[in-house]
Amino acid sequence: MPLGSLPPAFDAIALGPLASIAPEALVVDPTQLSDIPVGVRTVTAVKYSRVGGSRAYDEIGFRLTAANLVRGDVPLQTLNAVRLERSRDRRAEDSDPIAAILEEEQKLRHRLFDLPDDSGRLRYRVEGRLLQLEKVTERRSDTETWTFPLTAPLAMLRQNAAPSDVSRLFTQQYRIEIPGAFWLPLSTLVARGRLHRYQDWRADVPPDTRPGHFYVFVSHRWLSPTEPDPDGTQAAFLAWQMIAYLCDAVRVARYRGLNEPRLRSLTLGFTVGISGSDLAEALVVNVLRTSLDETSLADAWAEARRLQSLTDNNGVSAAANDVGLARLRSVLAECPTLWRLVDRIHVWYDYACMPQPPRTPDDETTFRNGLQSLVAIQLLGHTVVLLDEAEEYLSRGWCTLEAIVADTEAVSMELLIGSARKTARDGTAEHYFRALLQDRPHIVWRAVLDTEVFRVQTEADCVARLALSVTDPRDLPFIYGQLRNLAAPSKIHVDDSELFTGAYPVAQAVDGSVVVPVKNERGAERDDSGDSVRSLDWTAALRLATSWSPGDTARPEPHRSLPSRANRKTCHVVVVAGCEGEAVLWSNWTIAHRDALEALLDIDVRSSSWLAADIAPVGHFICGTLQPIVVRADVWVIAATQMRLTHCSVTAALTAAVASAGVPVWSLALDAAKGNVRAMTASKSSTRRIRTVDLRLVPRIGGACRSELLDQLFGEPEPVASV
Amino acid sequence: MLPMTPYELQHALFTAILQEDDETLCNLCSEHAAAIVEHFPAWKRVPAEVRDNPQAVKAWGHCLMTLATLFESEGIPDLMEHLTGGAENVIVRWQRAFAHAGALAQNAQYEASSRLLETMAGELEGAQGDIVDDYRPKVYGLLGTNAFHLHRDEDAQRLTQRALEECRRIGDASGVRAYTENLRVLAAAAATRSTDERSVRMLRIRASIARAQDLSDEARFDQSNDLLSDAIADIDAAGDGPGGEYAGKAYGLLGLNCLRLGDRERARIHTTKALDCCRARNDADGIRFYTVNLAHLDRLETQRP
Repeated sequence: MPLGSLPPAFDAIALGPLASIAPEALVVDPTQLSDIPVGVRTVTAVKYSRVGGSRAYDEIGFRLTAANLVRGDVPLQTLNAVRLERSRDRRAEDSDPIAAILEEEQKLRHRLFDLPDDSGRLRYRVEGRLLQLEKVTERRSDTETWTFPLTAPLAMLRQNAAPSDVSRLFTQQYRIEIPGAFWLPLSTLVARGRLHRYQDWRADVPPDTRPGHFYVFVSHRWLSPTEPDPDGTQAAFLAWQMIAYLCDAVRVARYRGLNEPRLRSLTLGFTVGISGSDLAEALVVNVLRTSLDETSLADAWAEARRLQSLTDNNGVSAAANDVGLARLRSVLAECPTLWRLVDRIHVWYDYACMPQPPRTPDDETTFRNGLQSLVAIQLLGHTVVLLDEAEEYLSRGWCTLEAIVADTEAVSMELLIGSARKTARDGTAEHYFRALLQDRPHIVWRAVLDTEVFRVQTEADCVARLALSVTDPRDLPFIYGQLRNLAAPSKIHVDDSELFTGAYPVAQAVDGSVVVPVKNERGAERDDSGDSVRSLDWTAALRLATSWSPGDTARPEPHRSLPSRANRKTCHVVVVAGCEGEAVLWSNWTIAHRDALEALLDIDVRSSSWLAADIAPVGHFICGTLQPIVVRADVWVIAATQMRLTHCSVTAALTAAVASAGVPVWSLALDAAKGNVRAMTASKSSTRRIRTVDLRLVPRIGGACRSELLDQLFGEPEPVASV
Repeated sequence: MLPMTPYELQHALFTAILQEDDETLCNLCSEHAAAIVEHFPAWKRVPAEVRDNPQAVKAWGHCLMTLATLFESEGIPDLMEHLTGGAENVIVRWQRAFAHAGALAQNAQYEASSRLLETMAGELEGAQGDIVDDYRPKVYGLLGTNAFHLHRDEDAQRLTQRALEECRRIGDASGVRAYTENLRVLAAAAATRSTDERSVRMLRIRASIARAQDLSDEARFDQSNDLLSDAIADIDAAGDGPGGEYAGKAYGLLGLNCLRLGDRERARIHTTKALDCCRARNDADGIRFYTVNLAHLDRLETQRP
C-alpha cells in the first residue's frame, strides 16, 4: 500500500472534481465544498487529504484542514497554513492603515486606580494581560467598561493569588558535569564579540555547572553548512537579548521585591502583579536572589535604567547595529553590577560548545558524547530559541527536536529574535511559531508511530515525510532516534475538527437499554474518599522504548474480548488516545499488563476497546471507522492521559454516561505514577436511554468530528425514558 | 414551578430583557408562553408611574418589542400583531430598516446602507418621541461610519458630531463616549493623510501616550513616565490645537504611574492636573474618573498608620 494511503473502505468515497482543486483555493473559497452532503463531509476531507498517494505529513494536514468545513476556533496548524496566513496578513496590513488607530484609541481611554465603591454587579473578561470589567446596569446607556492591567491587580484578585515562582534549576544545588557538555560564559561571548568554533576557545568553555549560575540552551538554525553564524548576527542578537532580559529581571526584582514571589490568580489562572517573562523570572530566581542584596539591586537598577533606550524592544534594534558587540562591551564597561551578573550566565551553543570538523580522535569522542547527552544538556538549563521565520526553523531536524524536547519535557522555553527580518522583529514570527509548536509534537508522534507501531515506513521515509532537513544527512538517524525516545505528548488539542475513530462503548443497563450522552460535558466527579484513590504506575506505556517491541502486533479491530481468568467482577477497559497509533499502543499495553489492574481493583478484564481523538489525523489509519459498541460489564476503567481525563468533554461525557447507567467506573491517568486511579461518581449529566435495537451499529467510514460525534452516533431515536 | 401573577411575570420578563439575561428570558417564555400571550395586550399600556420618565418609557417599549420579536421567531405572531395592529408600523419599519442598513455596512456596501439610513433620517427629522430619540443618534452614527469608509472625511465628521449631540441631548452617556471616540479616530485618520505640523504632532501625541499606557500596563512605570514627559511637551506646544485634548489622559496616566511607584504626593498632583484639563475640555468621563481617583488617594491617606 503506498505511504499515506487509506484503508479499502474509503474506496467507496468519490471525490469528483474536488480532487483537482488545490487546498489553497479551498481555504480562500470554502463555498466549493458546500455541495458535499453533510453526512460525508468529514470522510471526504480525509480522502481529499491523501489524494496523490505518498505525501508529507504537513501537506496531508493542510489538505485536510482546507477541505473540512467542520472546524472550531483552533484547528490543526501546519507550515503550509502558516505561509498562507502570513501572506494574507501582509495584504490585510497594507489595506487597513486605520487598524493601528483603532487599537491606539483603546489605550487613550481614561483609567481608574481601582474599582469605585458603587461598582455594583460586574461582568469580566480577560484580554491579553488586561482585565475588562463591565458594570451590569438596567439601562444599556449606562454601561461602562473599566480596564485594569493584571500587573496591578485589584484587591479581590490579590487576595486569591498564590506564589508561583519559576523553579530553581537543578544546577543550583549540584555541580554537574555531563560527558561532552561545555558551557560558554556570556561574558566571554561579549568580550570576544562572536561565536567561535569550540576548538578555538576550549580553555574558556568549562565543562561543569556551578550553583548560583544560570544555564541557557540555545536552539537555532544554521545559516550556512559549515558555520551557523557567518556574519556574527546571531551572536549579536543572542548577547543583546540576554542583557535585555537580565535588565528586565532587575526591573521585576526592583518593583516587586527581590525575594517576593511571582503570584498566580487562583480565580483566573494567570499571573497577576508585577512579573516578567519566564526567562526574566528564571534569572530573578537563579541569579539575582543568589547574587544581590537591596543595595546592589538598587545599583543594578540604576545601571539598567541607563541602558533602557538600548534594551527597549528587548535589545533587538541595538543588536541589529552591533555585530561584533563593540557597543555592548562599551556600555557594560560602565555597569559593573550588571557585569557581575552577566558573569553568572552561561550558554550552550552547539558550534561554540562542541568540537567541530575537522576533529581529532579525542574531539570526535567528545563530540559523540555530547551528541548522546544532548537532551540531558537541554534539560539542565532554560531553552531559548533564536527564531527568524517559524516555518524555516521548524523545517530543520535539530531545531524540531530541540523545540519538541522543550515542549514535551516541560522545559522552560523563551523565543528570542534571531534576525533582523521584519516578521521576526514585529513579533509575528513568534505568533506563528507558538501556533505551529502546539501541534508539531502531535504530527511528529504520529510519524514515529507509523514507523514503529504500524511499520508502514522506514525511518528514512519517516524523516522525509516530516520534511526535516539537516546540514549533514548523517545526523538524521540520530535525530530520529531521539524523537523516538520522547514520551507521547501529554498535552491535548481540543477543537471541533478533532476526528474520532475506533469504538465508542456504551453501557448496557439491566433492562437492556443503553445510556448515551446527550451532549459532551462533564457529568461525573472524582470520588476522593478513602479507598477511591489508588496507584498504578503505567507511565512506561508512554514511551515506545518500554511499551513496544519488535514482536508486538498492531491489530485493526478497536474492540477485543478477552478470556475469563478469574471469578471476579467483569471489567471493560476503554483507552481514549490522541490517534489510532497511540490507541493501539496503549490498548496493547493495558491487555499485556492487565494483571496489575485486576489485582488493584479485584476485577477480571474481559474486554477492551479504544477510541482515538485525533486533532492531526495525518498518520496511518489501521481502522478509519467509528462505531458504537454495547458493553455489559460490572466495572469500567477509562484509561487516558491526565490532561484528557480532565479537559476532554467527550471523555467526560462517556464516563458520565457509564456512571449514570449505575456501573462503577474508574479513571486511570497513564502519565501519572501515584494517585492516578480514581473512582468516578455520577453528578449532573445530560444522558438518555435508548433501546439497543435502535443503536446504529454500522461502522461510519472516516469517523466523525467532535462537534458531530453524538449526533452521528446516536441520532434522534425514540427515547425510552429520560435519565 | 410556582404560578406567577401577571405583574410578577411582566416584571421578571422585563428585568431579564434589560439585564440581557437570555437564559432566564428563554426559561420564562418557555414556561409561561400562554400567560404571556394572554396578558401582553395589557402590558402595552405604559403604567402611570413610568409614563413621566422618558428613559423608562423607552425601556418599556424596547421590552415589548423584544418579547414580540422573540415570540414571532418561534412562530407565535400574536404579540407582534398586538404591537403593530397587524399592519406595517413605522417603528417596526425603522427597526427592520436599521438592521438591514447595519448588515449592508457589515458587508462593506456602504452606499446602499447610507441610502437606507438617509431615508430613515428624513423620517426621523419630522418625528418626536422616545423611540425617535433612540434611533436618531444611531442613524447618524452609522451614516458617519459609512462616510468614513467611503473616504468622505468631512461628512464623516459632521454626521458623527450630530450623533454625539443627539446623545448629549437625551443623556445617553455610553453613546456620548462612543461618538466622542469615533470623532477622535476620524481626526486621527484624516491626520495620517496630512503632512502639516499640527497633524504630525497630534499623531505623535497619540502614539506616545498609547505606548506609555502599554509600558504602564507592563509595569515599566519609569519608562512610561519618560514617554509621557515627551507627550506633555508636545501637548503644551499644541495648546488648543489638535492633540491638546489628550492632556487629561497624559496627566492621569502620570498620576497612575506615580501611585504604582509609591509616590502618592506626585500621584495627587498629576491627577489634580488631569481633572483640571478634563474640566476645561468638558470631558465628562475624565472628570468622573479623576474625581474617583482623587477620592481613592484620600482613602489611602486615611488608611495610613
